[in-house]
Amino acid sequence: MNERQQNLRIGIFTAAGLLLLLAGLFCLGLSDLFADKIQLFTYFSESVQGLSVGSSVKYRGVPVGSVSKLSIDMDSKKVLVTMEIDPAHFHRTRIRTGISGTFDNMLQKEIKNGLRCRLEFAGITGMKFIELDYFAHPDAPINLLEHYALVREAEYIPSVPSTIKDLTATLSGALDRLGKIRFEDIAGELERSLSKLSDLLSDPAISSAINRINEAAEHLEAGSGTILRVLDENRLNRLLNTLEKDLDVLNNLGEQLTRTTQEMKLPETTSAFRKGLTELSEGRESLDDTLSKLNQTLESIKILTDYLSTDPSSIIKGKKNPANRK
Amino acid sequence: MADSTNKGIGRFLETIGANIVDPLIFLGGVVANFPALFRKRGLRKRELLYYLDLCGAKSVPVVALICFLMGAVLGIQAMLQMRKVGTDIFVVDLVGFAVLKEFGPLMAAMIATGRAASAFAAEIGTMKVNDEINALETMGIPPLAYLVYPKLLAMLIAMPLLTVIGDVAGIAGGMLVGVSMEIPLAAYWSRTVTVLDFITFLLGIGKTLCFAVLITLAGCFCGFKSPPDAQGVGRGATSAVVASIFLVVVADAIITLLYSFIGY
Repeated sequence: MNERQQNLRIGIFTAAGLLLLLAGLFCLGLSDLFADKIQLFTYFSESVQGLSVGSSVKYRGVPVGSVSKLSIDMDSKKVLVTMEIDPAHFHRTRIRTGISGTFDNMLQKEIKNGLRCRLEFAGITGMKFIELDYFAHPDAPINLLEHYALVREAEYIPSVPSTIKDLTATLSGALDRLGKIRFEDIAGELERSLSKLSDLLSDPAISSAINRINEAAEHLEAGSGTILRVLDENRLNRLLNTLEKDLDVLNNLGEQLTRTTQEMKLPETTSAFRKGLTELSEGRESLDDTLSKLNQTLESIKILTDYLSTDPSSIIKGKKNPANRK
Repeated sequence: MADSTNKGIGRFLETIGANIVDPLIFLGGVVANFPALFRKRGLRKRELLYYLDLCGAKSVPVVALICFLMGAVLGIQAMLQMRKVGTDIFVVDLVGFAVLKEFGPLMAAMIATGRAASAFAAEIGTMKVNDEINALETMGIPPLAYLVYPKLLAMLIAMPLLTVIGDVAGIAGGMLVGVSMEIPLAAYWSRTVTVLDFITFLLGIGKTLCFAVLITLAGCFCGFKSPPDAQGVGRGATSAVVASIFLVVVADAIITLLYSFIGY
């Protein structure tokens, strides 16, 4: 009985240990050895510090593979990163065929659509991973590599500089531009300007002007106080109401005026008025002639009257001959 | 003066002999008796099963419990620190790697040391007291092969299996802490299987084969070297535990250093 119990314990122990061993091996990636993997490669022209063999490769945040090799291409002085991608993560490929050839075609199409590799930080620890996303514009030019033959068994995905590299370049450019600024000259100019400003402020005329401005400000303050006292809120409201009523009256008046103007048929009246004026002008000319003739008549009457005054008999005798008069 | 110097040198050489040369002689004897395993009735299966039960099956509860608690303690300590900088999820990495690489194998080895090494030393020491070792030699049975190999084989089978159980228990302990501290179970599991790899798992288990050899040999050696009396058996058992722990820790340091050369 003891032997049976001992054997049972050993059996359970061995079976449990072996099962856990196998389960652990498969959960921790042994099954990946039998999975169909596709090799991709890319070149980075920046430091890949933080990236290591086993680092994740993510397509839009989804882990689809890992980095399998890091090496340096001494001809281009770039870092060659080889990745292993599990096509099972791409459902369309798996459903259709599961053959890597189809995946390659899809990859070529996506590269034309702007698919690129970029180094990204995995948190604050300095570790990095490779992100696959559409970082380039569709149909952006692809830099074909001269050393393609070295790794032609794998597919090439172009890379783009990481955000930190862009940031560093921008910062470097900004610092360069900052370095070109002549701070010493600016400081000298500033010092001189401040000196002049100091002299200007110590000028008695400026002091006097400032005093006057102060006085004016005080007056203004007093005036505004008075205005505030006079125009309290109730009064202001009353004024505004009155003003509103007046404006209403004005509006009504304007409307009435418009209506009256329209009723007056101003164009016709103007035309008649203009015609009347023309006729009046013509009548005036006739009047001028008449008046001129009347003047002449009056002058003749005056001459006659003068003559008659001088020689009243002439009205009976008639006008003397000028030669006789002498 | 010259006599005392000579005596000092003599004692020093005795110490060296007792601590270095004698174990090497014992090791050589064990290796030399390896062919005896393949003779008829070379390996005692009943003894093998007995030691497998003693060192393996009966050690499972305590190994599982200790590793579970160790994983939980690691998880709590890591969580308290990492939560300050918002990196809670990295608790999974710390617990996973610490358990698979160090705590699983070491805790299994420590339990085996306590249970097996002392038992081996006491058993062989008692046999020595009862002249059973001499009797075996008289019967033409090599005592090293007869007594050491069943224990060694049982330990080589039991230790990796105990370590696997300890690893699973340790990760479960960390997972319990993580889940209780608001890391979703699915996220903890996903992170575990993402960051850990089977090579790390196997390398941790591989360590325990070395530990099994060291614990068995240290226990048996201390048993064979113990004085043939009751007190000697007790001292032999104590020496076996101390020597086993020392050897396991030193071996762990050396193996960890060697693993670091291959990136693990």
